[in-house]
Amino acid sequence: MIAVVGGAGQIGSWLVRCLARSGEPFRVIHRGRPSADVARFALDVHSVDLRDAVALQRALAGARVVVNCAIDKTEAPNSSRSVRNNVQACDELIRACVTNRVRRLIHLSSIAVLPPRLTPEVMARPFDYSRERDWYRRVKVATERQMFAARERLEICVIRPSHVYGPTLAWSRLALIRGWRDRVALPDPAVASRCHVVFVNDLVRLIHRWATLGTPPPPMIHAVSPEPVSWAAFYGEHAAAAGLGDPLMFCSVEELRRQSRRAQPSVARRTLRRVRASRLLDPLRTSALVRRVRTAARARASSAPPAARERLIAWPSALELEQYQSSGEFSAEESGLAPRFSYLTTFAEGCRRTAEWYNGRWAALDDTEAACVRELLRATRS
Amino acid sequence: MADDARHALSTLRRPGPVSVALIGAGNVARTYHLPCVVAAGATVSYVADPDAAARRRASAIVPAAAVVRDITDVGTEVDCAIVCSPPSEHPAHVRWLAERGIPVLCEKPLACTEKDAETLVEIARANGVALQVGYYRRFHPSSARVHTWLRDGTLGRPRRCTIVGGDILHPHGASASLMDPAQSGGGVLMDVGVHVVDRLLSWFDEITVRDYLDDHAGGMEANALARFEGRIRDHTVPLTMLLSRTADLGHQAAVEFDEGTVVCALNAGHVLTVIGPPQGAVAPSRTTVDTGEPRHATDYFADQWAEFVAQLRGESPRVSSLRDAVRTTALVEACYRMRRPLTLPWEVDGLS
Repeated sequence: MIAVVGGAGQIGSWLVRCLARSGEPFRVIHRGRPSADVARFALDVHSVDLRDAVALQRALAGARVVVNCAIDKTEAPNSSRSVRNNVQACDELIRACVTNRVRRLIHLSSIAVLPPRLTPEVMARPFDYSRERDWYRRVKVATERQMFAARERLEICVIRPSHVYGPTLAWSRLALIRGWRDRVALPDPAVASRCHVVFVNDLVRLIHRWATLGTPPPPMIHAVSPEPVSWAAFYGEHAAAAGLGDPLMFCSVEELRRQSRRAQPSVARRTLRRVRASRLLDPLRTSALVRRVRTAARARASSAPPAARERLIAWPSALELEQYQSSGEFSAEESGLAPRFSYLTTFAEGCRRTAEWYNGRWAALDDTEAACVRELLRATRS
Repeated sequence: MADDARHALSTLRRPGPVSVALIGAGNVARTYHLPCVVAAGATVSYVADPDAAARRRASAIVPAAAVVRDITDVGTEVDCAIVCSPPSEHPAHVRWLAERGIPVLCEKPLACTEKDAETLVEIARANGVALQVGYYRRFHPSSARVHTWLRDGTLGRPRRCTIVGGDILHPHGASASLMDPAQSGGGVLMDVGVHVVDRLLSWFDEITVRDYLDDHAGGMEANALARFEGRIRDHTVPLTMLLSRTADLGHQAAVEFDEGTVVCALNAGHVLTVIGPPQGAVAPSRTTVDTGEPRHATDYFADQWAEFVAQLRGESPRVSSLRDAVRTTALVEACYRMRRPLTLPWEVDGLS
């Protein structure tokens, strides 16, 4: 039996759908309520906080393979607290797996553990971790280290997905939002700008493969489609497939760097953000005054004349600019390609499917209905 | 309905502020019902909810109310009750209240089956109490305007109506009962779809289900497509309804007439746009129709509450319709009965 920890999350819910269709016996372990995707199925679901050792032990009873897709985002504004919570949860998970004699633990990490600019030199040293300070990278690095440290006690496979795209996923939503609302500023086409992507179906097939295969998996796999995709193609094809026109705009790296520095929040603003993230302000954050100010701001935004809401330029952040200058390629072995697994979805096909989701273009609509729905969505989004 | 109202008059036991029992203190109760009831000067005497956290939050809004776990602990001296419990519990709760002569404003849907809904209407009638169902969007002025245009021929005859209702439901924001099919009675159709079906019933004389597909796989549907046929006098109109909890589709209805298309926002009661037909190479004209000042959803809940209180005082309801509330449940039930699988084109394929 396979236990999917974090089965209601972004990737976890796709894995659950995949397992539900495969007929494999599995159990979903998640904190809180199931997502709408997961609630579609009649499943063996356990609602467990990973830091609750007793409940976790019970939930893992009988599991031969555990896939860990969980990440606790509740304390995201506070990096250190977020790292501490996630490390504690992973500790409990490893302990529960060992106690329950789980045969294999597959841990979903991220390509974000590497420095953002993926050059061949960076990729030659896969354990030189990113030094970026944002909570997500810090959590992913810390938990991945934990997993590697526990390899003596348990068969562990760490999968590092690249930018996972597809219906409902954050990267595709970002591309579609920017494609609809903004002009996306990217480095000149002459600059190497490799975007490492994987379509969500391919990622869950890869996880499924290693969850069900008898032979031991490699200690680490980068889930990256071998098809070369640039950042321009990432934004451009998402927008084109969804009928959003061409949102791309190219500049020199120097210009992007200058604009990125300008767009960076000032020290005062960063301090304010940190203070806001502090728990000290909890009562104030929910006060009637704050609510009134927010409501007024929202009302102002919604009544702003259309001219004020014309396409803005999405200048990259410093981190994005680094990502946009990636040039490295993963070998077939590193990216999990093997005789019994290959990435099936081309980037164009992945974008087409994502656009079907975005545009409500579902299989059962006839042409007239689809045209009406398209018009309604255009009206909504304008 | 007139009978209901007359019976309701006799149930209003004492003058002064209306005394209310709130059954179920979840999100809708706290965000919408409580604020507008309090603002209208009513006294919330009881809050009943099995969940301690919900009771605590409600108590913070109405500290003077007696907070109890179960409906059986509610005193029968109250003038009326608002039922905001999960849909599967509506029959038991409405019955309990009606049998004690307490008029009820019940959150949508009235029940999960037509039989239960009809039984509740009968019980309310037999006990002489007012019963109203919380389809607050009926109070949207834009909806009333479309109702008029569908009948007076201002824009010609209606040809087709398409409705989309969809946004990504974040599990942390949803109430626990919403994600439990045993309590909610269904998925996106039972939750969002009932509002849409109720609106269609308010626009057309008759509605018939033609086809229904959803992606339920033993649990509760997250995406659904329903095809209906609407009839106004002797004229029939194809209706398509697309619902989703996994895609941001927005909430809009488009009614296509001979001489233009009316786009109506389902969530904002004052937003109405008329799109003229294309004139050769000239782009279609867009006209925003003035239906009054922008209002918040709470304002429409307040309108709903006002109509309910008017019923207690013996007036007939102007906007809400108990008959349509039963028909809505019947149509939803009919949809589930003729359910076909909806295959989502982006789902997992080719496990290797």
